[in-house]
Amino acid sequence: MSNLNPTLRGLVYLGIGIAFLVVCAGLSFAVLPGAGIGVGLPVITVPGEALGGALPADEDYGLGGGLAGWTNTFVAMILADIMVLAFAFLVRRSSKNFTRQVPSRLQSWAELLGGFIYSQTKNFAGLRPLALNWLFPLAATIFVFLLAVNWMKLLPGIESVGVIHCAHEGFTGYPTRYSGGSYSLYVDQALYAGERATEETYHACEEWKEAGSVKPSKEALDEAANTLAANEAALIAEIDTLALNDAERQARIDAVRLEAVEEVWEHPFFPLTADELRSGVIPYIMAVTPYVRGGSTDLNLTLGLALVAFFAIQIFGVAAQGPAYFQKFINLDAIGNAGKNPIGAINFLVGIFEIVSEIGKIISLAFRLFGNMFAGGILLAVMSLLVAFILPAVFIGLEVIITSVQAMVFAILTIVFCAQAMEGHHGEEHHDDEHDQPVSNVTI
Amino acid sequence: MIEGSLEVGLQALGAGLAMFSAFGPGIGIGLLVQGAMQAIGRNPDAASAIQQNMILGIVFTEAIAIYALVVALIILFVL
Repeated sequence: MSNLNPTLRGLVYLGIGIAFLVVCAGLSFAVLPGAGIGVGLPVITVPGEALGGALPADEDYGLGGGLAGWTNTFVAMILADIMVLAFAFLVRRSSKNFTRQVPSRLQSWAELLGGFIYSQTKNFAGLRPLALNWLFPLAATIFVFLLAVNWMKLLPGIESVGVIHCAHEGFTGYPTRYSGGSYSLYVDQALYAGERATEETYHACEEWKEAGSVKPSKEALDEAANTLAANEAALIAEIDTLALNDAERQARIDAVRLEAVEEVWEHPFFPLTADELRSGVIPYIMAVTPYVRGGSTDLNLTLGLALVAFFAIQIFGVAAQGPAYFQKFINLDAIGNAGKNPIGAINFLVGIFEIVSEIGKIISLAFRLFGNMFAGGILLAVMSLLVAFILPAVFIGLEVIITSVQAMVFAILTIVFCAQAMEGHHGEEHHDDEHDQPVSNVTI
Repeated sequence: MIEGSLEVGLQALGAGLAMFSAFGPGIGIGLLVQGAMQAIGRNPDAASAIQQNMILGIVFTEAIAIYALVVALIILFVL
């Protein structure tokens, strides 16, 4: 191809690219739905989903409900903890307690991540020992933990492989198929967002499950399918003579199908075709609860981390300034000097507003991380539903950037807030020192 | 003739209206980056320090858009 001129070569590359896209679109719009494994939308809920299928209002939801009550975001957090601990342990071992002169590969990674946070700490909080010995480890831990938690949701199998259970009221779900000892969702159309479950469909599905998830025998299915095929052919011949619009026509066909499905399944929801009936598609609305969902897509984790950061800020403030730190909120000096300097009493009011903004820090830290991660998950799900190939890869690349930036932002904001708390009102002299240095010495 | 449930439609409308507030932070981030770029253009040596403060400023501005996003998500998936 090197003998072609650049324009022609560009044309060839463009052609290859377009052909690739056409193949991908064909796969996700024709081949996959044809095989019954088209892309479905995952269940989108704000709280973490319990592995046993319980809802947040249920008794066995959460840690009290045993393993089945654990939420998938909790599992993700435990996995991330294990990963961070394993990383720390391996780094210590491979670097022989950071005594090796030539760093190993893992050690270089650890030094890259740690060095970044270290330089940020120096930048914002200065060289005081409190910052370097206590604030830096805290911020670095938050950073590495958030990287692990955030990146985990981009791995394949996470947010997709899980337990199939009956879809609760208000959630959307798909019919399922049982083959080779495991269940899978049966999605036979492209861009099919599933059906919304109601209370009746949930109870029909639960009844079937409580009766032992009995699957009808091959003969019964074949028989019902054959009857359905005959009835449907007769119906189509009949309604072709009538002038019906598409919706009415479909409604009549569905009624016949539903009747046939009821022969073998109790209270079915989906009007299956004869082929689907024969292949053993289960006509109840079911949904998948993934074993692991991105940990930071749960508000509990982000709010917990924000609370850790909030208390750290107060502790650093007290450690650096002593009880005088709380004068930032309730300014006793301002009231005490009110006789001499009445205008200064306004500082007392300013302090009250500081309390509000301090509580705002918890909310903004928690919701920033949660909002970004949850929206990212939905974005990936919707993009995968539209086109199963290529397009999601672009957005996964985008998500890699967003997740790392959010981890970085959380860590840096912790440093900045703690540094502010440590400096207090009398931090001006410290600032003057910094201005004397040439600006180019400040590094990111 | 409108088909489908009114509740779902109103939810979608509410979420859309909530996200309308993203235009404020959009302008804010634009102004921030404009200022930072001009500053870097005048004093390229200070680029790293300016960038750092710019990112912090963007993060605080973006937080407001994120609040709107969270409200929209709650309207869509919780209410």
